[in-house]
Amino acid sequence: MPGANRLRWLGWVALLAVAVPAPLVLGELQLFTASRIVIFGLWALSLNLLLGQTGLVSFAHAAFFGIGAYAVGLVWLHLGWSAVIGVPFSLAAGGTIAFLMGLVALRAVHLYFSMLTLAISQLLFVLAFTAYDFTLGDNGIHGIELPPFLADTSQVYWFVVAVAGFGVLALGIVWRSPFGAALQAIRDNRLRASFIGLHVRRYELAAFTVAGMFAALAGSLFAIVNRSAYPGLLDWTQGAVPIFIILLGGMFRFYGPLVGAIAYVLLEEVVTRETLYSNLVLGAIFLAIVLIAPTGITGIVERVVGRLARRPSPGLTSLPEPLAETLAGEFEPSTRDVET
Amino acid sequence: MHLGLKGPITALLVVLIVAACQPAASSPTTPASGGPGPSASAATGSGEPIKTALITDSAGSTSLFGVANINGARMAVDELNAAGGVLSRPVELIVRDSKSKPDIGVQLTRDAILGDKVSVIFGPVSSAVAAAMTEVAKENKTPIFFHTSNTQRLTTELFHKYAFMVGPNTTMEGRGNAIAAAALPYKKWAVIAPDYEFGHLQSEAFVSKLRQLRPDVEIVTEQFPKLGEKEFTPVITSVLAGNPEAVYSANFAGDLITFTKQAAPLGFFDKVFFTSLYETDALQALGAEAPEGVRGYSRAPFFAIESPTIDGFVKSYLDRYGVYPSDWAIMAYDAVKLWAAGVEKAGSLDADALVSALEGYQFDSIRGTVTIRPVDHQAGVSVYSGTVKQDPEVGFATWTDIKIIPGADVWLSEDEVKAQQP
Amino acid sequence: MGIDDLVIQFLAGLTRAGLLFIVAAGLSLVFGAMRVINLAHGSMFMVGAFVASSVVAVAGGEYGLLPALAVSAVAAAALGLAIEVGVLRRLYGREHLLQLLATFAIVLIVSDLVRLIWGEENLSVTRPAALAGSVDVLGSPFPSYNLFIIGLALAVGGCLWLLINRTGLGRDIRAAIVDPQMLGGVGVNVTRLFSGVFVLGSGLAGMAGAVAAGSGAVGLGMDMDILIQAFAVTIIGGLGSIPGALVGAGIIGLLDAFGILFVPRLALSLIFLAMAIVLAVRPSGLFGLPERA
Repeated sequence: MPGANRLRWLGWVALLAVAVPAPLVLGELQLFTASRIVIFGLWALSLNLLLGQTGLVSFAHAAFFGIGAYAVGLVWLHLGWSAVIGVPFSLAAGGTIAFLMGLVALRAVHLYFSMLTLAISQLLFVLAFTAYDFTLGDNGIHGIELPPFLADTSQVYWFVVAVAGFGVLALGIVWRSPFGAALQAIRDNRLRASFIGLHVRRYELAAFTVAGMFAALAGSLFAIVNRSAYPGLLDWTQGAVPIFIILLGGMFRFYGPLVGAIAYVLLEEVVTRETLYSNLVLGAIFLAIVLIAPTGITGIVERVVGRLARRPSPGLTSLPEPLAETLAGEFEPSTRDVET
Repeated sequence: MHLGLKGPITALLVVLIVAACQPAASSPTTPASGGPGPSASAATGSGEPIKTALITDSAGSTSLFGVANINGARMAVDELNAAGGVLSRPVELIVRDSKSKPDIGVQLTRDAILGDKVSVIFGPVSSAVAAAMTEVAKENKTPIFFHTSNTQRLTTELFHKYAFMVGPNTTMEGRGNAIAAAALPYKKWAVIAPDYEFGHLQSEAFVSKLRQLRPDVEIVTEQFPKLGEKEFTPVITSVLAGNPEAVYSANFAGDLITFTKQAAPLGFFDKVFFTSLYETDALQALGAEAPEGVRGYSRAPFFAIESPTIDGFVKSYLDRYGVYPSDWAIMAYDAVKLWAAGVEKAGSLDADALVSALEGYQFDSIRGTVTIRPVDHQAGVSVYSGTVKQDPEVGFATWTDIKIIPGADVWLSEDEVKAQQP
Repeated sequence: MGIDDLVIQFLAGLTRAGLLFIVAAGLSLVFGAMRVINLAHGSMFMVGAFVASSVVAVAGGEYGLLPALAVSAVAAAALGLAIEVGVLRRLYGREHLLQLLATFAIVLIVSDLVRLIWGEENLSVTRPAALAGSVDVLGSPFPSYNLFIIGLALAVGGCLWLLINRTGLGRDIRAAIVDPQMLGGVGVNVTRLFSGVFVLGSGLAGMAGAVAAGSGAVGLGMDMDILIQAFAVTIIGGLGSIPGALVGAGIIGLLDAFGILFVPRLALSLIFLAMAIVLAVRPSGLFGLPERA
């Protein structure tokens, strides 16, 4: 579909055209909000490689975000290096720990896998919480100093957009690659995928590692923007954030989590400002989405657009199983060019 | 999806959302007692209101501290307005909840400073949130007053010129308790503290001061159960196995209530001398189960404070909220009043003018007159202790045989502070 | 340290194990029969504790906690029924993820509703006079209430064993644990089975909340605290296995009690370490059936 292809490029160009000059228009506060959107968007995109594409439910995604934040904090604290070095370093740290965790956790499947990720990530949380000599313990590392080229909020924002843009691009390439197609085949039918010769665990381990790397990258940006890293970032309940973002945006489009991040961050900011009972409001909204619109914003928009165009709806109204059979257009799982 | 049920569920969710959306900023939450809340802070005085923000933690296990903070701060603001405001302008208090999450605390602080343009931030309950928030205050040169979170680091490593502390910090609290303990005959001590920064810093300050005052003292065991522990029996039995004569504890709130209920049947309070953070809330919750004879210590217990203003304060608080003020209400109240006094003295809202006005300032707090020390902006507040005893007058246990250690006797020396400040 | 200290420590460990077993058994049953990870299980526990505090406030401290056990169980069960019928039933046959998220949304909602109803203070619930004292164990006093918890856990375990092995409902639950897909095919009323199991699990959590109210502070935050521990128990024992929950609870309870005694600095991480080790060796837990790919 060349039309869709052109449309997609136009979409990304428009996004850049909005994101890059933002500091010229927005005030300082809005820039922080914009940074949060970009960071949470990258975080959710990395999780969606597991959730939407491979069908793995991980409870450890907050741990990798936290590891990324600590990569920045610890490089600055112990080595006395520029905090910025922690950003590329977070990719290595997140990737290594994800690989090791995956080796253990992927021995199990489905919900047991989820539970194993929970156990190991809570172990990491406790380590960050109690290792006072190394991590400064439960209150965390604060006041991380930034190099002179990140002196003001606009510069920090541009840095975040540049690094996150690289992350989004990399994840986009993975999403559309033969490797990504193989992951979809595994999600749709694990058994069939192994019958056609895919080494399922190896693929899952690779996906888990890549997802961990980019979650850590997002976390490192969080530490740069907030100039702090603390154990709460690793706690498993924090992992609900990217999951809700994905749900809000829709998990079957690559850009779904980015749309979700915009919606989530704005929603959360309004709700925490307006009420002391924000859990009640957010919980009710999330419950409504789960029950009424599980395909998220992108699903709804596509359905509406499809109806307007008076052709059979390409959008999703629910999440039937197997998912692949209803997947529309561009992400048709193709297993033929997968090598094992 | 059965369409027939979509409506009712949607309606229910909408009702839930509406129920929660009693705006936090303009009208107060129901006070802890369930009594009627005060009306929105009446704007007296003239001119643009001065905006202030209390960002505290009113969800989860420390929510009762947060609610007391809100009550205390609201009362202070209403009193200021009734007396003509600050700089003859009305004061408006914005209240937000960080849910004990540092990232939300940071976001709310930025939002208050950059969005609402507040002149001052009053801090949270959690030290982790406070540590994150103080950086934002520093960045934006906005005064921030800590009243409940009390980690020593806020006045040393994380100190900046716009930060003030009106509660005793962890060092003062630990050392003050050590001075009280050194006067006792016991030589074999055990320590129980919650396993996080507050517990470690505070109990370390206690142990090192006690060792300095009493070289003959031996610490037989130290236990650090996790914060929020629900089963203390193994901790209690293993402490008793070390045969201490006295036990020092940094447990508080829910943990202390749980500890007390589980320790009593084990004969713990008969076997050892025990001291812990038995403040108003805990004593009230324990009711008849409060163990008479143990030593309580605390930061601002209304029944132990001697000052010209305490009786009037307690009466107005009781009239307004239907409960006695806890330490956390008194300290938040003091934080607001200290800021207001500083602004009046400076004659402007300028942050640097406020700082100069408050350095060395003699503040008439609810806890008596205290000095704000220039080196770390720590208020020289006292550390209180007393023996727990049922008090028919208030209907729950309070203290007798009260001992007050002045803050100036126990805070870090100026050299110690400077060595740790950035 | 004498043998009597070790015995007391053992009993203290069993006390925690007893409470954890009652909570985890419900969580495990729900997972086994319905394949739902119910994150709101801890919320039922918290609701049970707060309901118990109200019952004791009305009925008085002398016997109040005993009727509270029943009232809390019924209240939590009713809440469970509402959640099952109003929310989960709409999501069967859909992604597990949606069920998981729905229960997490309920955790958020219930935590604030409890705050709206009962306020923020910590509450302390008086134990019945007969259970407030202690009994002599090898010359050391040990709380009667702890023995009551151990006894109650054993009784709950016995009842569950009878239910699962000697009743029609139990037969269906066992069948569901082995193969949920097959159930409808052989004529079992799946809707009713799921409601029954969810109500049972919720009721157990509510009763456990009332039990916990007698031995500690009742306050916000109890929900997530118990949830993570109940998870650990269920995972170690194997999802869906009642004997597994019993053994898992024993392991966590005793590990904690003796961990505090011998390696106090590690106590926090012991639970998760145990969880990770067991799962790394036996990914489906000690008594769990392996999940099929």
